[in-house]
Amino acid sequence: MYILQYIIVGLIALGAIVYLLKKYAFPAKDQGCGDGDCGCH
Amino acid sequence: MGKSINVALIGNPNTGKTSLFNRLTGLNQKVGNYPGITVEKKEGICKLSPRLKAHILDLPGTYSLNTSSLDESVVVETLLNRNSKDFPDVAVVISDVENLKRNLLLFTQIKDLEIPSILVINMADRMQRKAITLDIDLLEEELNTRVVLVSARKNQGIDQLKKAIIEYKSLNTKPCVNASSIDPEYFDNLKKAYPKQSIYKLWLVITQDVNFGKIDRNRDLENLKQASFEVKSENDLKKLQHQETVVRYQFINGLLKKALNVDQSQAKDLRSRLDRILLHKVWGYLIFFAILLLIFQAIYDWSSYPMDWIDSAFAKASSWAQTTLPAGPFTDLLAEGIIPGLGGIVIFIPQIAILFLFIAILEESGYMSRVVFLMDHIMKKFGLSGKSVVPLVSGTACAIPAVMATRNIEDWKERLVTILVVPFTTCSARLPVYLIIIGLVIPEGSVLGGFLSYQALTLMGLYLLGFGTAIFSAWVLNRVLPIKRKAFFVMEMPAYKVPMGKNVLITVVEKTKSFVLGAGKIIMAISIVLWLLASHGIGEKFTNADELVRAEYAGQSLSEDELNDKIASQKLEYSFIGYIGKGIEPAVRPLGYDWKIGIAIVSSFAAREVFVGTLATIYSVGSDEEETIKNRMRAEVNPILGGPLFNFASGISLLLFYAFAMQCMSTLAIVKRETNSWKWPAIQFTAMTVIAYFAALAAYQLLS
Repeated sequence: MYILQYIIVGLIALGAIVYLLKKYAFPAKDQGCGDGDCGCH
Repeated sequence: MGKSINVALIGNPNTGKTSLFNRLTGLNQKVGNYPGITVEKKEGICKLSPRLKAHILDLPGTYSLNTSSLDESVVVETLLNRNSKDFPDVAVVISDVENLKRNLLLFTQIKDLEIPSILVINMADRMQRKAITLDIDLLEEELNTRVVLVSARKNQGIDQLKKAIIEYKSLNTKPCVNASSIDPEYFDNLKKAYPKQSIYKLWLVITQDVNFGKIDRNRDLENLKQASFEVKSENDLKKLQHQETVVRYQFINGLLKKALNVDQSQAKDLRSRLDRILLHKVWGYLIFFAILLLIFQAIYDWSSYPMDWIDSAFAKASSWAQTTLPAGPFTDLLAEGIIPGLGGIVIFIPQIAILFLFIAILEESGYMSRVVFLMDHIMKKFGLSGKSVVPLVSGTACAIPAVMATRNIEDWKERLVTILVVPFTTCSARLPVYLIIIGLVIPEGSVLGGFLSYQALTLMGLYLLGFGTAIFSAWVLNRVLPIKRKAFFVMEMPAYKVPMGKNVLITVVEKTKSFVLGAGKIIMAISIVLWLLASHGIGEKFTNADELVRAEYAGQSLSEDELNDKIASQKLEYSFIGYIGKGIEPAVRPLGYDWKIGIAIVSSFAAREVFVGTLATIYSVGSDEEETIKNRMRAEVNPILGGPLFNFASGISLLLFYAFAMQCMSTLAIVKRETNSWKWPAIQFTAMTVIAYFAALAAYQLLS
């Protein structure tokens, strides 16, 4: 159970890091405004 | 059998064009489609005299001949194609007496096509009520046309219009604006290449992407190339179109200054009466100020109960996860990272929803346009035009769309200055930081018999500080980067109306959802990374914290809870984040912050609202207590001076830091895109961070 929790945490942490890198280090070139995600946050 | 002439009814949307069409044609009308497209074609017959009847075509509403939609391109196509069976013998341009300035732009363009044109000023029955007087003779003289006052609704002036149409052959077709002045050499060469054509028609053919225009344009461009004619790029053509609009509005402004008089003090309708008060040079600003006070007071008064409830619900959820789920790293991540981090944003939903509720009501009611008008007077004094007001006002929601809204500012330097100062206005991402810090360091007392709390006044002060800094910075930048002012600012004042509940609700839900979902994803990701860094570390002091702390306090009679707090504190201090925080600490210590606040500041460089979530995560690591974010922050002790870490001096210092600092990577990315250079976002980031640091430093050193 403990190992399973470690695996889950590892995957979540990897997802979080990838998301942040994608958002800030390699942002999408065309960020449109008005469709809910204008990159404001 | 009598003669028939073609009459085209043209005008801006909502000028009463269709009402006039109905008056002229009665039941003699038919509705169909233009060939091959789904644009509605309305035509009818009007008997002008026993020998003359008019085939009347009600063209789609358009603001100008610079088309952007299929409907509008139908108008241009009809006016350019002399071979079409619908080509008008006379164009009747309908305008609304209350929006003449905007309506005349279209009229001057049609007039320049050298088509016999009549200017109809509709809704003339409102003139007396609105205290509007017009010098018709002067208008006719300067516009080289016939002007007819009409009220289609009250069936007034229709006979005079019919008479003017009958006499269409006597109309002067000379253009009233010399559009070729925008680039005389280019237009001279154009005229030489096509000596028999109307110069303005050629210009429209070249610049419009209408179906008819495309055919002619390609042919024309081919001919022009053969004649070694300078073919301008699409960008240059757009710039010239902008200049043409400027020239036309300069002409219209000059004309209306002489021919139109609106005596607001004599107007009797409700809109005029309200405008007299709301746009008054003293009362207007006082009322706006009072509305701001009401908004900020409501943000505090109405949201305290739901906020407390949300805060305590997240604290309970965190405690439940810790005690109920099987022990392990995932449970810790959930209880100490994800739930407190998310709580740090969800708690602000009530206040953000209330802010957007007021903004939506002000926009829906038509008052926001009056605010823009009021602000225009202030902006002028600081070297910006009214066009900068819209980005600055919309910056209160988010700087990204505000930076993008600067695209309608023609002058590059004015646009650049607006882009550079917009991030000073208080965006909604600053709100969570302001609210939590104000709640901690500003006392709960009130003034004006309990109506206005100190906390609401502080929040309003921060909004005014942001706006004030933006326009002061614009004034400074205006000195450094001289701005060539444009002479006009055209804005249509919408009528006042009772806001529609559905529209307001949709705006509130959409804006709040966008804020929470947009910010929530980042906060959750950052909370996870922070938790990872805060709950892992290297070195004996981290891995053997339990034994070391118990050994250190073995001689003292500490309770198990107190010992656990000491262990958690040591583990945090020697975790990865502890090392990072200690590295930052020397830079933030003079501002009154400890290393934990330093971490929150660094992590919120991505987005300001991450600040609260970060602190919530850091303070939760190792803690088993069911405690709210606010109480955890309140309990923090200054490690050097003792006493609460979040006191008046450090709180004001933090508020000023967040008021001035450029902590939004997305805004920097958009500024880079809009200025096409890293130079301006780099200057903006450096200048704002330096201002923020020294303002926070001065505040802490003076107040502590």
